[in-house]
Amino acid sequence: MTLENYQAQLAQNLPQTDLPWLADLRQGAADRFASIGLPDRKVEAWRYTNLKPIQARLFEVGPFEADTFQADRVRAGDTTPALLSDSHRMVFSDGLLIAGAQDLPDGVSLKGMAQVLAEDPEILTDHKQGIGAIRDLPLPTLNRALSRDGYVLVLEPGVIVAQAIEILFQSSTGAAYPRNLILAGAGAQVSVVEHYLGTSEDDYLVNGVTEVHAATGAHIKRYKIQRDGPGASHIATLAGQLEADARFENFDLNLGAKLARSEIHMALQGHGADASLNGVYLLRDKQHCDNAILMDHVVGATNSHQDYRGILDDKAHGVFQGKITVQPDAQGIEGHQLNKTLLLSDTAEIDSKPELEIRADDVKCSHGATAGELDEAGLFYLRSRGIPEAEARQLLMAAFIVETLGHIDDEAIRDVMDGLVTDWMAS
Amino acid sequence: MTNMLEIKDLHAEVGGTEILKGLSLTIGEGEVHAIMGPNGAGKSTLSYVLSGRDGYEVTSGSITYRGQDLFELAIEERAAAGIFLGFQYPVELPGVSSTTFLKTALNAVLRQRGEDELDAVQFMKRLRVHTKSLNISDDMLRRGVNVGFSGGEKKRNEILQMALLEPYLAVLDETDSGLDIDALKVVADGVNALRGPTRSMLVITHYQRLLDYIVPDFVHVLAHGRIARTGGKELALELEEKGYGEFADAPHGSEAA
Ligand SMILES: Nc1ncnc2c1ncn2[C@@H]1O[C@H](COP(=O)(O)OP(=O)(O)O)[C@@H](O)[C@H]1O
Ligand SMILES: [Mg+2]
Repeated sequence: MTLENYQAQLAQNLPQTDLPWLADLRQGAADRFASIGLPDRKVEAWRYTNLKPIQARLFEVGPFEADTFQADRVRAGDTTPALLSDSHRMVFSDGLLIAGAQDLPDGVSLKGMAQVLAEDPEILTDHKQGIGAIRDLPLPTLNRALSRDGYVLVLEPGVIVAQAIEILFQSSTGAAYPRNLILAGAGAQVSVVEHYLGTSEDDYLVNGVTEVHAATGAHIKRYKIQRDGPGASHIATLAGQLEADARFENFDLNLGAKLARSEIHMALQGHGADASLNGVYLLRDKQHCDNAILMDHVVGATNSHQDYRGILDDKAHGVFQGKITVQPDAQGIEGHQLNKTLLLSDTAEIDSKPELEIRADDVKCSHGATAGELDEAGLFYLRSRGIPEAEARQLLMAAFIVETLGHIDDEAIRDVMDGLVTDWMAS
Repeated sequence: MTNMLEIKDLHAEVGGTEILKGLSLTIGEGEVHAIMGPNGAGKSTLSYVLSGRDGYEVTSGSITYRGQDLFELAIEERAAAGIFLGFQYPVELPGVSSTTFLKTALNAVLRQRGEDELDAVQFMKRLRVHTKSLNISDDMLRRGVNVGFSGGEKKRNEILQMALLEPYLAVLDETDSGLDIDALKVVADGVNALRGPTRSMLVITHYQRLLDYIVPDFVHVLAHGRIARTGGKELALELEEKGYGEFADAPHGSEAA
């Protein structure tokens, strides 16, 4: 697509707004995207993932309706069963809120981005520009220009949310640009599940951004379950900033979409900050899933941990690019990274590229990557005990990822993930 | 009465090399047979052929198990039909908990035998009976299958599986290797407890020592891919004395036979 085309398309599709700063931001992002376009594979970060399949859908954003943020409006449209039996739930459909969260405890605000912009834009005062690490990247830039909605979760200091927050993003067509923000005050604690679900076989696009700010001692657990449709492209960028003693746990379960990219930029910028980023990707047919992580130890006495494991069948293609950066004088840090992939067929492929960039001397860092087949001896051992082959294979697959799933702290959420993983293995 | 096992003129290859070269062996119900022989003779190969491992290709001959053509059964079907292989080198399965493994195996076998599966409580009750006599700790049951087990623990774990699955034919491949005398006694007691008129055993060992504790009805020497000699339990003592020297080199003409 040419530059002129991008400009014309973007001009047509920018959401309207009465907020001058937002109009400026959107226009600025549109101009920037028009000049940079989509990254091609000459860009190192995109070396393994071809974005051509999303070109045609980029500007197919639906119309913006001013009343879509009315929380009590369309609960009837919300027919997808919840993953968690006990949660505060919010539902987006093709990029717009259709059901808002109810009965939130004191000190917790959870609203649609469109609603916040209409009613309460001052919440966003310190976060208009977004997190610097991703601000100028092409896909977050496009999200900035075209996003119509998303969730904004604000926790007052010290608030502990007992029930998890479950947010469903269901999609069926076109392009959706959810833009989400989590602001956790000092010592606040919450678990958030982002559930992306496809309801069609269409080659729709989701290009989402989630930004997380954890103040001193806050503890955020964020789980993403990606079950977009078999024709879909799912692009997600997560950026986080952790202050002193803040803890962020992320788990990415990648099951769906034809093309998936999950990019995480995590800045550990206060002493004692701790990030644990883990994930499981289960791919078959011609699915492609690219996990790219940039872990930045900005100051000393910070810890990070990454454990990503995948099982690939048929002609699936997995990518893991993980980089740990330790800034000068960030002494006494620990950063660990592990990527393991099980290849079930000769035609499945994994590209794993762990990277360390260490500019301090008192650090403990490790990284490792392995890829292998299902253990023939193990399979024979199980079958020799009477366990049918299919069941034996499932036991070994489950064993391969059990440790990674073990990083999921919330039992109910782990059960949900276990169930989804078991279904995948059995099908 | 049909025999438990009849192996006739069995030829089998591994990776294109013929390892078993016309092996014949018959085991009656309730009998315990020992197979001895030098390293590399093909003892483990025989055990894998019996359990149906991929890569162990039978090129000719037959095996009849309880009146049935064994080659028609898949690995798991052989287990369900009552063949149990105690591995020379039990496989470690990190991430598969021992308890889950044992329960899955027992229920898979019960299901295939047309019997009711056990629920968690029934299973634990049955498991306890055996873990006690085999001195298997709760800690072992919590760990991944064979992960971090000592040599003795691995072998006791094999006997535990055998006890749970109640086979008709147990093939025990060097169950004694790497065991000290106390561990050997525990394992032998476990095996002897399962001896009975309807259960047969094929005990593969390199050393006579095990046969002091598991006393066989017959002893065979496997050399050059076939049964080179058969005798009573005194043959084991003779081999202990003389070693396998007389079987070490292929006698002239044996390849052509
Ligand atoms: N997987 C294999 N690939 C190739 N050769 C093998 C394999 N397994 C065993 N062999 C060979 O087969 C022969 C018999 O081995 P094995 O049955 O293990 O003997 P034993 O158990 O009597 O010591 C040996 O020469 C061994 O090297
Ligand atoms: Mg052997």
